[in-house]
Amino acid sequence: MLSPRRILRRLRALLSREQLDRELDDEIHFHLEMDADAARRHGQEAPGRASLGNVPLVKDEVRDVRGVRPVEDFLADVRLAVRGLIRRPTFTLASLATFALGAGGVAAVFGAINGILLRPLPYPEPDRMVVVWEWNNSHSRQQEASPGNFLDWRERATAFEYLVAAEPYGLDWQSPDGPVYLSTWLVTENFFEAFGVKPMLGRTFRRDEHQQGRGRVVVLGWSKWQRQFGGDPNVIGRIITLDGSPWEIIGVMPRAFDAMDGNDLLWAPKVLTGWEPTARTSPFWTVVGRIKPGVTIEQGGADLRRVAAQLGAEYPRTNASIDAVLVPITEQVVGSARRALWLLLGAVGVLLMVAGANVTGLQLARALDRGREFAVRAALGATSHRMVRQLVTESFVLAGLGSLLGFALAFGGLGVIRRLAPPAVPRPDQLQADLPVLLVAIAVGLITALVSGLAPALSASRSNAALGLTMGGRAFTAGPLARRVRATLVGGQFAFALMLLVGAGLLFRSFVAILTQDRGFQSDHVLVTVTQAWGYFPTPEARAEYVRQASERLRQVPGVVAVGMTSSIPLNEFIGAETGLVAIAGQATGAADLPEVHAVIATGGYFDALRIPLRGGRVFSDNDRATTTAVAVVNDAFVRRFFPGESPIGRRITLGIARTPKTEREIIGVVADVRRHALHQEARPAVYVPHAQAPTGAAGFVIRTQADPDRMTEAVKGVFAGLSASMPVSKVTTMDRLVGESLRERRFLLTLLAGFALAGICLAATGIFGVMSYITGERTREIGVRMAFGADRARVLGMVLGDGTRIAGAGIVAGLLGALLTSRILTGMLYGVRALDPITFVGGALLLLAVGFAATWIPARRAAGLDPVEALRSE
Amino acid sequence: MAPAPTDRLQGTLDLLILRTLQSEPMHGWGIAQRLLLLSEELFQVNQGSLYPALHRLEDRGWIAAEWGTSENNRKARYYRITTAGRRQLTREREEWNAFVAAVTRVLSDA
Repeated sequence: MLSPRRILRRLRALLSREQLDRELDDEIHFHLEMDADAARRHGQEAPGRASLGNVPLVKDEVRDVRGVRPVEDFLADVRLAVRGLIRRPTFTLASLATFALGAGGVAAVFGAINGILLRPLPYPEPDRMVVVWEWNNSHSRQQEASPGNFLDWRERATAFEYLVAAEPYGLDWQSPDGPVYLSTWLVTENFFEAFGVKPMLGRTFRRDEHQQGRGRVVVLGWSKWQRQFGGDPNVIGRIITLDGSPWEIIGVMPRAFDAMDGNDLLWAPKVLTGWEPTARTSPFWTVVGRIKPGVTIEQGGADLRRVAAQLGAEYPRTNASIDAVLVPITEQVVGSARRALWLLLGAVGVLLMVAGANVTGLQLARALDRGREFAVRAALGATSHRMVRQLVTESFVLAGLGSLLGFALAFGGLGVIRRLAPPAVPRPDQLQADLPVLLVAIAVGLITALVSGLAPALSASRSNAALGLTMGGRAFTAGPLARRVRATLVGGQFAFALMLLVGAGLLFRSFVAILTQDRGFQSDHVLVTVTQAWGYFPTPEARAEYVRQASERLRQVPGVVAVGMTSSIPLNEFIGAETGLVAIAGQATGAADLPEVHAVIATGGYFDALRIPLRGGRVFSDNDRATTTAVAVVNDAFVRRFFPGESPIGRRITLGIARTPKTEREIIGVVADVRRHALHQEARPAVYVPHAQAPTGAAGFVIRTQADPDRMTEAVKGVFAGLSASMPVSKVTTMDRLVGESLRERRFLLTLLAGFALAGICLAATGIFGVMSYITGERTREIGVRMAFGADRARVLGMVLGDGTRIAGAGIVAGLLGALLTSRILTGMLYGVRALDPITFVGGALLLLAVGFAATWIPARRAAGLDPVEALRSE
Repeated sequence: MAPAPTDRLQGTLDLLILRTLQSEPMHGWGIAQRLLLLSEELFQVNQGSLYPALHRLEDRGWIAAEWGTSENNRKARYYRITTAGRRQLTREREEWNAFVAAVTRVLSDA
């Protein structure tokens, strides 16, 4: 161990080296003079340096005593390395770019994985938290919980410390700037205690606030507080008007709690009415549980399944096929992002292989280039150990700088990931280029440097000084082995680049397939708005009138082409009930297993506004009123399922849809299938019912415009304000935007994978350019001889191009095999394209071959342009 | 463990330097002269060993150095023994005596 005093001395030795050296010179100079004086006194010849011996050696030995020799050597190496790197800018820039791409890519993806998957949710003991779903056996579907079932689970289950539920709700706030729709969760008792999160300001709900008449209190989410209340710390105790009544703001949750689903949130206590305990077929409560300490998730699941089985026995009509499933909350929140992120990690790993091979190739070329320099140094007494160390230092300097550049790249890359991240990615603000990301960038850079710097260093250390000098450096042209190693490295880059390219190609083809397939509606030039009219038009008649009036007035806005109302907007979230059980007259079905269909309440204008093709019959008109014949329109999928090969027009069905009396309806028309949930999901059988006959308050409007729909926003809002000054328009967007949102996850993966593929191709191109330039440079003399003997330029060109293409081609063949693996991994994400899509595979291979050819072209042209006389003289 | 021969030689030089500095601070040339004198011209210290040894002792904290003016008005680096150096001198002197005694015993027995 060094004592502090000696550490200080070492530091001084490093920092004031020049002064120490000067002092040493003075000291020795003094000694020599004293010797000379003494000699003069004795009348002798000056003994000169004999008594002191070899002066430089003495100095050297004294410097050794300072104990900082290794550090000094290292610094000298670094200085030498930097100087060397500056002298060869092409090599340096190519290496730096490669290091930066490799380290930066890995660090960015690591940052995403670390921020999204590895960092636990902001709840204490998140592994005890689960989301509880109903499992519907008759439809093989996971669904939210019905209120009645949740209440029984909570009462009977024993494995849970807390079992809480949240009901999606909306509160209309009369804000100073007009009515605002606040999406709200009504939560049951102990909701926040179950998460174990305390409010940042104020308090959460007391038990008695879940009782009738006391529940007019709200807790704000952090972003809601920031956005709509300006982050006012005195917001607690403020009374605001929600749904026409005074409510008190009693608390604000910390920012991290927004993680629940990233939206700006508001919580209010759920006050039970008589309805909830009996509601067993309305699965719309989100249930979260905290399992007791020491109880496993499996035990918790078994406990709930036991309760579900009891309920199935007690309420066979509703609960016979209802089971319960637990999903760990981390899985619930990040599950869908996981596959994408691991996929990206794999892709970036492949990119790193390309980068590593590229750096190794560059280093090898460099080492061969410097054969003569090392031969000279060996002749002057540098040990091979010393030379290897210098080479390694050089690659570490490169790697260090490259890693820092890579970190900058990761910083930008994470910004891109943050912007592109699909909505499923929780807490995107957590995606920061932080210290762990920096460490990963550096680690990747250094490991790459170590691996890629080793081979060239070893080959240099074996160089033979005498031979190197006498041959004028020519001894260091690549032997057949070294040449094969470099060709393999370049071929490998092509193989890995092809794997990336095929992956990106398959995703791209899927993306195009999804965009271009028939989705059943046209999304361009459509403005979408949502209103919840229940409270403002309380009677069915008033709501029917509201929708009629709104449609009418919207149609009169200049620039509006068509207007329709719907309770189910394609690719949007739910705005009201969307499913119903259907009975078909003349088709016997047991009451217990009536098929479930997609139920939509709409006006005739809906089909016009979205340009949903009519297959037969007619759509609703203003003449379909509450008092006229009950009618329905069905989609193609409905016909395929229930009337295969027949015309359904004129047939009669009964549809049970929330809050609407079950009425027998006549089918009057058939329309095309509309993809409701996602563009890649087939439409379910659907039944459309005219709003006049089922006047729901959940009214979305689709408005087809002549010009840019965004420019119509204010005019459209004005229409709604004219119908009810206090009713908020809860959402205004465009159909195109909804389509875009629904494709975010795909676009995210596609963009990143395409970026990696592009980077891989660029690296492979520089790799083959480098190796072919080098090989042709080395063969200058040979080419000169060939030309002197009559080989024409075309032949030389063909020879070099042939060499390059062979290297790239071999890599591409290997890459095709590797791409089989890529396509296998991607299988689940493909749409409308086979995993072994020949266009992608062949196209990718041809593209890379072309890249290889183009990159070889320059050195080939240079070789063909050689003057044979010059070439021979160049030796 | 017995010191290796080179260590012993180096140790001996260290011991001699410390002993030389015991009475008064001195510069490198003076130390060499004093050793020559005390050893009756026997120890012609190779200056190539002297300076590394001085810097080594300084590094260990047994001697300290500062710039001063020599008897003939030249700038010289003077070394003086430190407290730690005195302790070390005592220790090394004992070791040396033991070593010499042991060698003497062996030689007289033979």
